[in-house]
Amino acid sequence: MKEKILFIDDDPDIVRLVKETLLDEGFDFVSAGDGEGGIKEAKKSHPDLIILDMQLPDIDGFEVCRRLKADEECKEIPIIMLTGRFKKTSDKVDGLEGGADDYVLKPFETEELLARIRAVLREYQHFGPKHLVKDHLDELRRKKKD
Amino acid sequence: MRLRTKFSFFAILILVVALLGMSVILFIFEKKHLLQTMRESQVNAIKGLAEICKEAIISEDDLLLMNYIKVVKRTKGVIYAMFVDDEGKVVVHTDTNLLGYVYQDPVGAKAQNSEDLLIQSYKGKEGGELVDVSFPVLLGQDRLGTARIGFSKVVLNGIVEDTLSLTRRRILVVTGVAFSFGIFGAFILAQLMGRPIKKLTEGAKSIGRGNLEQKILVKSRDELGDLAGEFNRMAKKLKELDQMKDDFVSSVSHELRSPLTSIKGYVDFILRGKAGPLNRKLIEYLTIVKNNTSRLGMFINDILDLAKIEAKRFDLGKEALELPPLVEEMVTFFQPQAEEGKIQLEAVVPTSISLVSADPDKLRQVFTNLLSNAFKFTPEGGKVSIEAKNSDAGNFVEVAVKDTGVGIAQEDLKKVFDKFQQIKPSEGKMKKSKGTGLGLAIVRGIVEAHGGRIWVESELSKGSNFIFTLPKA
Repeated sequence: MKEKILFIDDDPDIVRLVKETLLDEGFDFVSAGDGEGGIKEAKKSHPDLIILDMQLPDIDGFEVCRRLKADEECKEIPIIMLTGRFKKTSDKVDGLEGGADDYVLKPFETEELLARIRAVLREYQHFGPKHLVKDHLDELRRKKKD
Repeated sequence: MRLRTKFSFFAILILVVALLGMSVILFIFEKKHLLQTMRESQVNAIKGLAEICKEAIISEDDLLLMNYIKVVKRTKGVIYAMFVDDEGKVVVHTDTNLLGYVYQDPVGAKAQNSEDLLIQSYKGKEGGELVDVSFPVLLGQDRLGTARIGFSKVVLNGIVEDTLSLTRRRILVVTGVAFSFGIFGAFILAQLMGRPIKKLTEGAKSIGRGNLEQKILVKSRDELGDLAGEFNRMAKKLKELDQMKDDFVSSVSHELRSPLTSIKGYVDFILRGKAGPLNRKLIEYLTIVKNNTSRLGMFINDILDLAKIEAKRFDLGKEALELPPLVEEMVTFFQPQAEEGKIQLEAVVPTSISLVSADPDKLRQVFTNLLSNAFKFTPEGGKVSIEAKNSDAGNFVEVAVKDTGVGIAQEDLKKVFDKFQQIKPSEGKMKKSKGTGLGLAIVRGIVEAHGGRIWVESELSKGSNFIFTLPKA
């Protein structure tokens, strides 16, 4: 089955670039140009993975990520952050703590993006969503205590 | 000199001068007053004697005069007292042997001829300094005679001296007490002033180190309080500016990166033949576009790195690191470039080398920048080497990246680590000195952020040797 990728970015040139790359590699592709649209699209098309740009015209990428991870329907979808700015390590931490699974720095090589997409998808297939793994571990710890 | 020391010093100086001046003035006036009092008592004594003489003559009461003379004689410092008649004959004298004696010495003559109070100093027969005080005894217009009292100057001086020494002692005690209080006060004042200044200095230092959250807590309502307020305002303003700069850098870099991503991606598409068949020229030109895009991307990264280094906001993930594998990795990474340029690449790292405390990613960046430079400036057939050893002095490991390249002129050695400094190699030797001019500035920033040092030794057309130190783990 083809895996569906949702790409959220406001730069149409980049959207097209990623679209053509992913279609060539045999993925399904949907896209959105802003945060609200991205969240709507995620709920509608249930992608296997979301690529999310940090800077969006309406709400910033961190916020989109938080909202997606708080949403029952979408919380299990892995997210790769796409960013040109990590002012501080804390930004990176915020991104990953906020639920992002990986990040790619702009300007990216299309090969690098593909590699990250495959790695994250593979990880999900093997271990399931991160928070599920965490829940599972918590469960185990609780049992051990009892 | 510290402000507090200065302040104390001047306060004490002023105190000493003021107390000294006051003591001297007090002493002089006291002495003057004392002498005047003494003179007055002498005058009173002689006037009293003259009055008694007159009364005794009028009332023909010799006994009164004799008794009075005895009383005068008992007064301290009095050597003699007498009454001589208008012809100079002694009528009454404390020394009864001299009754009837006629004084003809100049002092006696002068006293007898004087119409008013007369004070004379002279040397007595026994050698003692004497003061003779005389006053005419008059009855209406007639001169009955002259009253004279002689004082011993030595005894008089003794009295003055005694009183003055008492005064001196008093002044000394008062001055001492005042001085102690003054010093204590100056010290307290210096402390009171010094503490807010110290706080201000510490706060300003902290702000200077980039800690813009620093608030200086000086609440006093004086100039120091105002200054602290100004400092706090300044820090706030700086923080705003810093934030603005951060936002600017991050948005600019984002705006630069997005188009670069597009350019790179689409050039890749064309090069892969997605847009149709390619010819040799097209491939050549597009490769140039691609390489320059990479350079631009590198430049943006370098500028951001440097901005972080300069803002001292460089996050180091330090760990105890083994050098040999990292150096090995770098050698492998640069091997293709070495082969392409027909340059020998070798690493000499003893197994006894200590662990270093360093961020592996940042250290890779240091090596990459230094090695890229070395290859860039080393001609075919040359050699590039990495050497590491435990430093002889201190807890450092010394790492050197050597090349046999064009070298750096003596006058340029200091400048190589400055940003945007690219040393122009002597003509013809180098064709590929394309860089951002930021590499070595970043290298220095990283090394110094680790607490190490970096320097370069070089000789033109012999080669360069970049040496840096890293703290042992």
